[in-house]
Amino acid sequence: MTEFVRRYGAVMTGYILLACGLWIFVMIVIPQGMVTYYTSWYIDRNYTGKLTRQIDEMYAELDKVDAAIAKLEREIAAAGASAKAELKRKLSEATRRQKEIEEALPPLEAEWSASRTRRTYSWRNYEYLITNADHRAVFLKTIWASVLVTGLALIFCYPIAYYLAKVAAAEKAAILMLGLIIPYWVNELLRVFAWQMILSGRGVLNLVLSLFGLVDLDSIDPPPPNYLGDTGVMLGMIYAYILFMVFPLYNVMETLDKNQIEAARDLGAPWIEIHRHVVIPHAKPGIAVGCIMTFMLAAGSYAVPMALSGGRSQWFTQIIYTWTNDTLDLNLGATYALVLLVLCIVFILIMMRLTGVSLRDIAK
Amino acid sequence: MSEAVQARPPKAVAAARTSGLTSAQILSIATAAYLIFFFAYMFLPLGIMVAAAFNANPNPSIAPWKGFTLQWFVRLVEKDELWEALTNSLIIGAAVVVLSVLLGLAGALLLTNLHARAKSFFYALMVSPVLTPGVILGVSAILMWQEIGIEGGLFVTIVAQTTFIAAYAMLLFMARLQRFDATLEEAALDLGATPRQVFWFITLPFLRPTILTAAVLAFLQSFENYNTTLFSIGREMTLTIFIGSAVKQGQEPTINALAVVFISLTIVMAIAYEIKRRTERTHMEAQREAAKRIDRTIAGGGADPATAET
Amino acid sequence: MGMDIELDGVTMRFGDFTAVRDATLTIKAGEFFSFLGPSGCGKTTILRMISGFIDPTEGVIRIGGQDMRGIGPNKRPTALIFQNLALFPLMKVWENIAFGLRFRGFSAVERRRRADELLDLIALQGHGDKMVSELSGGQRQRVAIARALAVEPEVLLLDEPLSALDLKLRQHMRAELRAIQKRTGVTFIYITHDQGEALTMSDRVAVMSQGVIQQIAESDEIYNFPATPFVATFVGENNIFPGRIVDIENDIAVIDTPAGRVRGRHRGNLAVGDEAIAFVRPERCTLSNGVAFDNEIESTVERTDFEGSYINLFLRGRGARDFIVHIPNDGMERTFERGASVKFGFPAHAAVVLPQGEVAHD
Repeated sequence: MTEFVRRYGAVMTGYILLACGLWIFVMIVIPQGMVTYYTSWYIDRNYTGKLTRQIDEMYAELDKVDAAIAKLEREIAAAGASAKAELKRKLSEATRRQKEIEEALPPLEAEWSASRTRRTYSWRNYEYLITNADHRAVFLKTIWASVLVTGLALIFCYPIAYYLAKVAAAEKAAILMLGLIIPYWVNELLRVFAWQMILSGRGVLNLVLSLFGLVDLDSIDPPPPNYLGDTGVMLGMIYAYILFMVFPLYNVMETLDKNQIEAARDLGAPWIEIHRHVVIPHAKPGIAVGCIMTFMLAAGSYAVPMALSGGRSQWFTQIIYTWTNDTLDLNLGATYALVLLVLCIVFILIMMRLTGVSLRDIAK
Repeated sequence: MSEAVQARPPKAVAAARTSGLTSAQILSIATAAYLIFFFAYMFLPLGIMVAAAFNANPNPSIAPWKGFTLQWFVRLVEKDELWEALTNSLIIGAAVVVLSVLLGLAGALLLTNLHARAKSFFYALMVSPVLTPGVILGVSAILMWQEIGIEGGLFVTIVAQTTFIAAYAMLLFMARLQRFDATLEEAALDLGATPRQVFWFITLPFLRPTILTAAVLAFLQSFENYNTTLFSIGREMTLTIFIGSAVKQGQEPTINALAVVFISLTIVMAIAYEIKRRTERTHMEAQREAAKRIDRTIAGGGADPATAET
Repeated sequence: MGMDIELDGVTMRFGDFTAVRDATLTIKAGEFFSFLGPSGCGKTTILRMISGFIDPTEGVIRIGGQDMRGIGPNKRPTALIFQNLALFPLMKVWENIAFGLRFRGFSAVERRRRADELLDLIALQGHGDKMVSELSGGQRQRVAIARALAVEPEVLLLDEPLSALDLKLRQHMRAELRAIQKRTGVTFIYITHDQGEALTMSDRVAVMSQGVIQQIAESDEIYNFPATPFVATFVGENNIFPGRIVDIENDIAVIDTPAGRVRGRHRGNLAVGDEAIAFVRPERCTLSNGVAFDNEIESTVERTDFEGSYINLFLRGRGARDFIVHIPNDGMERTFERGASVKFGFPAHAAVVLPQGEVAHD
């Protein structure tokens, strides 16, 4: 602390501590804490609903009693003395009931309005996710789909990363890198939209297939098939996030000494062995980073399912969106978000264990 | 095939060479095919999207081709929401740039001065937003600010985006500081500068190029962000939200026209960057060559004025 | 010009590790003084303590008689030239040179004028507006010197500044450094592991090992009459005769060794019966040719190396000791058969007998 002041002066030290404090607490710790807190309670809307019905019934009864009192008063005025006593007894009974209801209503109404914001602490949010078979299935699908997307992206990217880093001549590699950077900076939504144009019913894929007579584009019943849905979403995810796999792989492979590969080749190692014993061990941190980024982006993607599910398949992020923006059950939204976060953390830990790299290597 | 080559005794090397050549040829053909496939995979969808922007067909598609038109560009610029969305995106982007650079720099300075366990702890904490899905950052920001009565909108979006963009900026600053030669600070101290002066005269100028890089990166990240913004933006509109709703509705090719603008800008920036990189490299190589020549003359002997003087 | 520097019982510990142990010495004003030793011997620690980057755990450093405790590097009358030079890459050459003047109240115009003067001194006139990256290694070296001299230090500290240069340029810069020191009269403290540099440039040399100063003396004394076995073996080559003292006759000690009896000079710190080592330089040994020597050692030839100006003769003595004798290349044809018996000798004053101690490993 004094070391800081000595080095940067009081003003700079103040700035560093304030900025880091704001960042850590206001942007990271408190919001995540808030998410966790929101998962621990809910607002019991059934109870509020029950109160609403109860209050409605009481008002209805009050209306009836009011009407009865008015009627009795009119009858008393018109009735003979013999009937009057009986009517008066009825009137006093009705008045008592009216008073009763009028006294009971205010506390009930207060309870009603309090119940609309009352936080009931329970495991209900987690129970909801566990017991809801549809949501459970969507969650499991999100896991395996993200793992599949990550694995395919790794297989697909490994050769290109290796080629750019170690095989291609410097100039050629620079141009090819540009060829990767350009799509990387084109907005994710637009890239996904391009795939919508390919996979939809009147899309480019069907157009190509129709050239071979495999699909009838003009058929109305049944309409030409489209490829949106789970498969479409996964294709789109691979396309959208593949570059997050290429760049980390490329970065580590570039630091590999080419002589190591040549030495291995010189010693007669077949290429598959060279990759197994020389390149892959060296590229582990890059593989870990690429897999973590791709998995995180795939599991947390909202844009791709939105554009390519064709309304036919549901994804976990879409459920979260429904909770937070449509149904406005923020507690369920927070719970589902937290579960997604835990999933990503677990994946990071598994990757770190599998590749033996530390967090420090990951964020390079 | 390569295993067969390996198994051959050394004497058979000449014989192996012929079959080795063909295997090399196969490998290079396979490589070329793979490269073509990969880049086609990267660019064909973009090409289709660009082509459809000029098709008079009111559905975003390249077929049937109904004639060349620029009407979707006209339609695009006539949309009021587009300009509103763009303005909001620029405001958010500017604010995120300022905040991310300030926070990222502070974080990097803090971490480089911490040691061992404290460093690892804060490092993990401050890098964690990069590894968190954007959706969650959006949800967590909206929950916190709602709790104190601030609804989703530009402000919450700025804060939510800064959470992880500042971490990217911090990583850039840390990488730069790692290449910083600590003896420069000592040299300045030794020449009479106070620690504070060292920071302003030596450390900060060293970080200046990174401040620029971090600012550009932060702006692009903010401008392109969808997942976080979607949850934190409330009822407001940004460019990505605009694109998102257009993609959802899958309507006319104005969105393709927007994609053409995006892609063109990206290509121009990428090419400009590449040209800059190349000229810098040629310049540095020339300098290095010249310096080598001078050293040869100095070591060459007595003609040098510095020794002649004594 | 120049100030003297006093180290009084200076000790530096980093945790359990003692980098410098009880260093006491005085460097005279205007002297060219070197600390010589292998890496990790504590010489850089001494330099950093004098320049003020670290404070000694114990003891006092005085510069010009003034106690330096609590005075930071930016307040001391010293300037340091770093091993990697530490030139500021983002400043022009003249801005580098004038950097220290910024904090001494010089205006921009004065700074520029002073920088130009110094550029003249180091023969780089007209290079002031270049960037450091445009200079050659030798030119950068000079800019670093100019930058340090610009603040008119009383003491200039140099931390192996020549190690990055190639051999020819290094030799050239040695002469240049020495010339600048003579001209400015500033006290130079030079750190090096290169004995050639230390011995050729310095007025006096301090040899260090494992945090302890072994000897402080002029170059010829260090070479000819080393004070400890470490100095004897670290500086130059030496033949080693470990054994036991059998007699002391005034300034000559007699030591019995497996290879034979050796007589040599001593420093008065030996007694009969002590474990000791005798040292003799290869160039002080001569093959016996009838002339009687104070010391004569019997041996057999192992091999020879032709070195140009002399021939390196490798010998094996009794007790499996290896010796080297330099035979001047006087043009005479000589052949040495492997295994042939030879006798070599040297006068008693050419040998040094020292108490048992640590020797240098190369």
